Amino acid sequence: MKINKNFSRRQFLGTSGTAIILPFLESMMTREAIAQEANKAKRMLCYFTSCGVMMDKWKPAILGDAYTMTQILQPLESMRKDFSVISNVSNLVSKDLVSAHSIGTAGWLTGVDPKPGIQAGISAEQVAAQKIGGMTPYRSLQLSQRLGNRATEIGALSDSTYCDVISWADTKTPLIPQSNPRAIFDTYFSGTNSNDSEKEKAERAARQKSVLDATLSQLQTLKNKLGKDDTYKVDQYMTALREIEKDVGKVTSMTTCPIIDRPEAETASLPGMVSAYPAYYAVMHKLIVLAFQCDMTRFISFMFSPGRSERSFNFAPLNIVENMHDLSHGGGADNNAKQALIQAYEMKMFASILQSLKEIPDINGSTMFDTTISVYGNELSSGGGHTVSDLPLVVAGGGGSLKLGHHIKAENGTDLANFWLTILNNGLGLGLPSFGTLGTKVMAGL
Amino acid sequence: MKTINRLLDFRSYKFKIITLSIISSLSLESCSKAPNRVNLGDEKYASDSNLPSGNNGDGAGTVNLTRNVSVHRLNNREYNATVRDLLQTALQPADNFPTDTIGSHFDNEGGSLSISPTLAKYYFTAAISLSEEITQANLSKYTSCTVATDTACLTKFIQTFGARAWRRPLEAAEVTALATVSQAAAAGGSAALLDYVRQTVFQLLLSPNFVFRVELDANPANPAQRKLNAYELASRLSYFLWSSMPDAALFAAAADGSILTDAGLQAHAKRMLEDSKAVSLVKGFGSIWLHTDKVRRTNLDPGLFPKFTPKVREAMAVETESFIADFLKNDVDVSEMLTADFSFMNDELAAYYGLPLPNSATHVRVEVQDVPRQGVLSHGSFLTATSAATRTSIVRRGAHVLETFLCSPKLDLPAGLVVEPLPDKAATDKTVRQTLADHVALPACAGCHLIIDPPGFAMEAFGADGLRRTKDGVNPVDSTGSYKGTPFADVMDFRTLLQKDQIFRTCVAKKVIAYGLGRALGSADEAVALALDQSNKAAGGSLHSLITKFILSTTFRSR
Repeated sequence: MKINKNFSRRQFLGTSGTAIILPFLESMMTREAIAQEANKAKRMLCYFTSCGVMMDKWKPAILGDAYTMTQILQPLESMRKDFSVISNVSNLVSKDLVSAHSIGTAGWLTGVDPKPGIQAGISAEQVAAQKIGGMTPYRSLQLSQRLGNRATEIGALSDSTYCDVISWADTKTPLIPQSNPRAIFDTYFSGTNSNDSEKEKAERAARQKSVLDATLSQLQTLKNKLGKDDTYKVDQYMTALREIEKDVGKVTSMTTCPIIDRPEAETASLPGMVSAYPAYYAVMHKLIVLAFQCDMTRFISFMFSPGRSERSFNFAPLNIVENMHDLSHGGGADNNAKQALIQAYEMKMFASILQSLKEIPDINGSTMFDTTISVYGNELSSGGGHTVSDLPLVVAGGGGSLKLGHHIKAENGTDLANFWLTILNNGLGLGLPSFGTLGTKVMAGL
Repeated sequence: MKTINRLLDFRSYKFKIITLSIISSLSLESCSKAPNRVNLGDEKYASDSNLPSGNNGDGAGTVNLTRNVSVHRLNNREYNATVRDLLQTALQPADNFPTDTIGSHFDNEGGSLSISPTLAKYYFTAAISLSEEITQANLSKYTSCTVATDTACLTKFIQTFGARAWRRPLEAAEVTALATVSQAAAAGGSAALLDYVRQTVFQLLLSPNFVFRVELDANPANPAQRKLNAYELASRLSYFLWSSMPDAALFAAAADGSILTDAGLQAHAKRMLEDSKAVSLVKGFGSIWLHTDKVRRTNLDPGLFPKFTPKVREAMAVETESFIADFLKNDVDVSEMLTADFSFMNDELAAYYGLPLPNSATHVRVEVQDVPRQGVLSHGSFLTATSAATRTSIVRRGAHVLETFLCSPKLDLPAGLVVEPLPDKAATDKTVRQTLADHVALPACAGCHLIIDPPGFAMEAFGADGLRRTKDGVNPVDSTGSYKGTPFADVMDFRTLLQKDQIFRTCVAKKVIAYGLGRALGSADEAVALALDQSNKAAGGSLHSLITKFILSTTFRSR
């Protein structure tokens, strides 16, 4: 991408919500590059929910583009032409579903069967981030609404990592997400309106690089003394520091974009009181939009709740006292109705991000919604049955050659890995030969 | 169907006879012999080859979480405590780090702790922030050197400060490398020394020698068991008891080798347990072991349980935290946690429980004369966090007891089982227990449930809100059951049976071992745990004595 070198990126602080937005790329790029970038998806949002869906309230009755919107999909009605709901994609790679939640969560974005010893595989948005995510200050962000720590479920995969993480950099590197909005704000959005001179900035960068070099050298020395079972720990650190070294000295302050106020104290820490959840959700969703809007990153994975969530929705307007996991195993008309309400609420939250993205211009008259592939899914299909076949999936926004506006049924034998390969290749144009374990070809129809 | 129903009619005398004979043949075996099971009471050992799930069979790159890793990352709590002790800083950078996950027992397990690019970036910015806390005004706090040209002084500074930061003496080559980088950063003028010191601290904090606890093997391809060296032992000890780096006295004991002697090690273990920094055992060990944090996120139906307020919830968490803090210091046998006639309450909590007020807004020690309320199983933190929003959960309470006090494996559902949901409770007058009985009528379910449910039965005397009750709905509560073949009539009986179970005692020892070593446990640790408990029991059985004995063991002093 050709960059106009005369452009200097300045940052406006403290003008919450009223700053003028300059589309990043248009001002930075030459005319030819703009034409090339036009109408191409370049961003991914992977939005994860847990404990399954009420299939009869999720799945439209007919295929095609004239289906009646179901209760859970209803929040997307106004965007009917811009999304597809996919049926008959399954997790086919995992044979033993004893730790169904762990497998459903760790396998959702990776298309592999997770192994004991904290192992899975590289997740789809990480594949993309590694290939085309280098233009933003952060290749990717992993966010989650995780309310506190806990051990999880039964079986061999009982380490909480499997249910707390959907993004993996490689087989042995889970990307633990962040869920503290104040910390996220302070880290990514409070900015450094540095008054250093160019000379001072250069000196600072030189000092940092020199420390990074020295540390990498120490890591290599250490690695030479380790057995093969330990080297990956050192490799993780080395890989990360090399990435940091590439960025040292680069201007990381943002383009002009609205800076929200620093999240309030009550949303700063993970709320214990369920009445505080809506405010917490609101600020987390705002941060996702902001991260895209300010081009901090183009690849975000987000866990509305971790796998096997025991989340309570006892706030208005839902006012449901039983927690999500209990409801999913509850059975009976009353429990099922409550689940559907919660699932529709979660879809509404997803839709709110899409709506915000529609209001942010991107190049050539498009919006960020058009240039972002947003995928909505769940660890399970049936929470009560612990099934991972016919998983709920929605694909929205996008560009590329994805077929939107339809209820699409995948052919039998379509694994999640095929689905993600389709997103990566047909959506982002990455031209990959495969993804995950079973993803050797793209799926038809999407 | 009729026969099964009769078999499972818990109130029938015939059932009691039948059950006792069935249990020996049906329960333990069916819960263990069916595919993907292990014997109840034995920890599921990750190193064993019969791992049922998640293994594609290629075997390549299997990670064994039960080994002593060579590079053991500091967890977030340890990072904060370490920078606090190293730099006397008030900054707690790890508060912003992504929250650590929990491994097989705790959140300090080497095999489960990894570094993501996000975390590495936080290490980088934290190292910068911490080094930039050093200013001209406070420079003398970090070094006695006065000019950047005093090479001898600065070399000494790197050696001394570096030895604390990396928790071991530095090699000459390491000192030289650090000095070279620091020297290059030292611009001319009055800031030269400041730049030098900052650059040194920055390097030391970013280094793998800081963020990892390193224990190398002479032959990494085929590591032989060996004793830890003095500095490795000192670190293992301080991170066990303080979640932080060694202090000056402990470093001195490493330097002169006295930490490697029985007397030296014992003396330091004792003083460190008595130090205020040992409060980290409450947070890192006790709270996670007893899941005290869970109650802070427990939401019961406020319509049914209006008295279960946020203040009460918090008071319950503090009760159990104070309780475990006491047991970490007191001299009673650790099994008395189950029957202790004391606890820690404030007025809010005592009023909630319906007990005499201690006349204190903060938690103080109280005598608990209400016998069913005695012991940690009757703490609100356990009873409420294991309940559903509107009712008790026998299965969850049972599973919690199994996992927390019996180190049971996380049990597997039978493969291919279709889990039928409990029928809508509103539609029946039955108690939760009665409804559950119908639910587990299938033989495939009964096997495990005969083992999981009994502790939950005993706790039925307490509602979802943790308060005493005699009725569940319109029917009387039934707290009877059978624990490993022995019937119990109520929660007191059950507690006693659990207390006498060797598997419980061994489990407590296992928890100490898992936390002390920071890893999952393997089959080889079973004998160590048993021996540790037996030896400790003979010496009074306290938790601090168990900890000290473990510290003195070969297992703790080796890798």
